[in-house]
Amino acid sequence: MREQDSRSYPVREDMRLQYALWAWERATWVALALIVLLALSGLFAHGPLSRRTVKDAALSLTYERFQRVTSVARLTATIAGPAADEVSLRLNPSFVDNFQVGDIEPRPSSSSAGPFGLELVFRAPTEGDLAVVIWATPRSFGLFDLTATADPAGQVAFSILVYP
Amino acid sequence: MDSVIKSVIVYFVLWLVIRMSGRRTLGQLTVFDFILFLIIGGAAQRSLMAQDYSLTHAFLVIATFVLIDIAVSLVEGNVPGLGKILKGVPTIVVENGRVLSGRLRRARLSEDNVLEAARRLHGLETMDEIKFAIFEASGEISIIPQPKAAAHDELSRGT
Repeated sequence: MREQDSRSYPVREDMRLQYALWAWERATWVALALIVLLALSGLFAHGPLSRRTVKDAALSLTYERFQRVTSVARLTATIAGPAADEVSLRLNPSFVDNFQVGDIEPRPSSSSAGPFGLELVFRAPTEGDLAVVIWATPRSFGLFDLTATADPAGQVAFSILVYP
Repeated sequence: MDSVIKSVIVYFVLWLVIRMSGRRTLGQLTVFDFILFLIIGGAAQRSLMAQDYSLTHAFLVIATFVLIDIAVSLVEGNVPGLGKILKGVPTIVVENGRVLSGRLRRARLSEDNVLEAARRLHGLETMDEIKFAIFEASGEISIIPQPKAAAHDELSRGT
């Protein structure tokens, strides 16, 4: 009797199923390895594939396009050499609804929220660019289309996919 | 609602990962495997509970897990084809002293594992003394000694 054949004594074997299960087992290992590699690349947040920068006029925004619910992520907005005394950064209502802002550096001189979204006003630096770091945690999962607007100039649209 | 859905997803993901890691892990749990399972449990528990540590939430998660487990055991018992897939099937790895090496390799077992089980269960010393070695669905190795070896085994137990 060949090794691949099913025996019926002392136990009833089902070698066709057993070989299929072994093949399935191997396929799952490959899938798990693939998941780990993708995780290292940042597809599931916090990695090179996830980090992205969008620019428009004076505004440059670096963010994590893949995030996980309840996991804090960093969003950096750089506003090039503002001429005015005050600079404002506005994030659309979808950001306010779906993200919880944990910390903002530097502290805004004033902030307000309304139907327009979240507006943060900063004192302009004496020289150089203004870099604002916002630590925010997604509240729910899904794909969120967001916009950030800087005053005096710059508006960028960006999307964040939040995994459950 | 989300706690029930999350529990169902976590149950089947855990089941798939543990099942697909191979039966070998289940039968021969080393100290490290035990720690690994604790970590897996901890990671799953955190994602299940999220930030809701209320008694109601904990009860919902437990109730869902127990219910799915009962449902799976009912399916295993009543649907033979599906039961075999869910539980696995026993596989003979040694037949009349002859090692079925292809099967052994696929099951990620070695001859040493079989001999260890033979020594532990029946005090057998060589492969020739084994009539059948069966890799059970539970991950354990059962040994049926050759009749001569069995008689010797009885004798040595009697004394």
